[in-house]
Amino acid sequence: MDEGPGRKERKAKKRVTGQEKAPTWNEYVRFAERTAYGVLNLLPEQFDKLTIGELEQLLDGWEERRKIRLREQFTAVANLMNIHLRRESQVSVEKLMGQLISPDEDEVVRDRRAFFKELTPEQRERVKKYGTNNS
Amino acid sequence: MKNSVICDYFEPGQELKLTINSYSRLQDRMGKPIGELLSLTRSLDTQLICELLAEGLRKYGNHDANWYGNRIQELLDEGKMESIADIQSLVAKAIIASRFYGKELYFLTFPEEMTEEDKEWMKVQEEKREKLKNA
Repeated sequence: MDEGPGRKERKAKKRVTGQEKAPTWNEYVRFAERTAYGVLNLLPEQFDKLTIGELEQLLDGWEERRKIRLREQFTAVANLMNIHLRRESQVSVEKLMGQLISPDEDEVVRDRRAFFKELTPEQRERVKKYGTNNS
Repeated sequence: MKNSVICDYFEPGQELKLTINSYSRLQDRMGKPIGELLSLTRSLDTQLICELLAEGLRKYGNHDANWYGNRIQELLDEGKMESIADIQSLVAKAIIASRFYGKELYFLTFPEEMTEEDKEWMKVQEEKREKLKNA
């Protein structure tokens, strides 16, 4: 099938920027409105004054508050659970948090980089060839 | 974080701030997708600059793009503005400050805003881009 002129370049550009499919402006606005009115509980007048960056900052703040609330709840849960568990099988707040909050992509990249640093060149080659499951 | 830029050309101390709704209104008025209007490969023409000024300085008075066009001409004639490139770069900075082009370009334009955490994030983004380029 003929892919048309510039198609390959566009595909390559998408690969470089890491975007699968960029949202259109209208799609972005719908997402922004849903987030502002739903998650952040803002009023239309407040939304009207927001830049893209400010909306992102508000979302970051909301995420931070959510993590603090979860930490408080999980501290109580871990304390209640640990009363009934043996020392070796006791749960930590971090363990419980980890099940609900997936590490962000950057964290995954950092972890992967640290993991690769620890490997010998032979191990590195093997991981590249077979992945991490075949040790 | 900076979300607006100071624009002293029309009144001292005015802040040029482009909100999500500014872009939506601009798109409706110009009848073209905003992504196309503000494409990184396209330079900002005078009409677009005036429209963006009308949107970004909206809170200081309801002046339309024509008004800003005339004022820019007056400023150029009076020698208060050296060339149209001055206002062009200011408007471009306001677009970047609103994070229309994303966080990376924002930090590249305003490196003084970067914290240590942001620097680490930028490093990760750079690595990701390199990885995708080589893939």
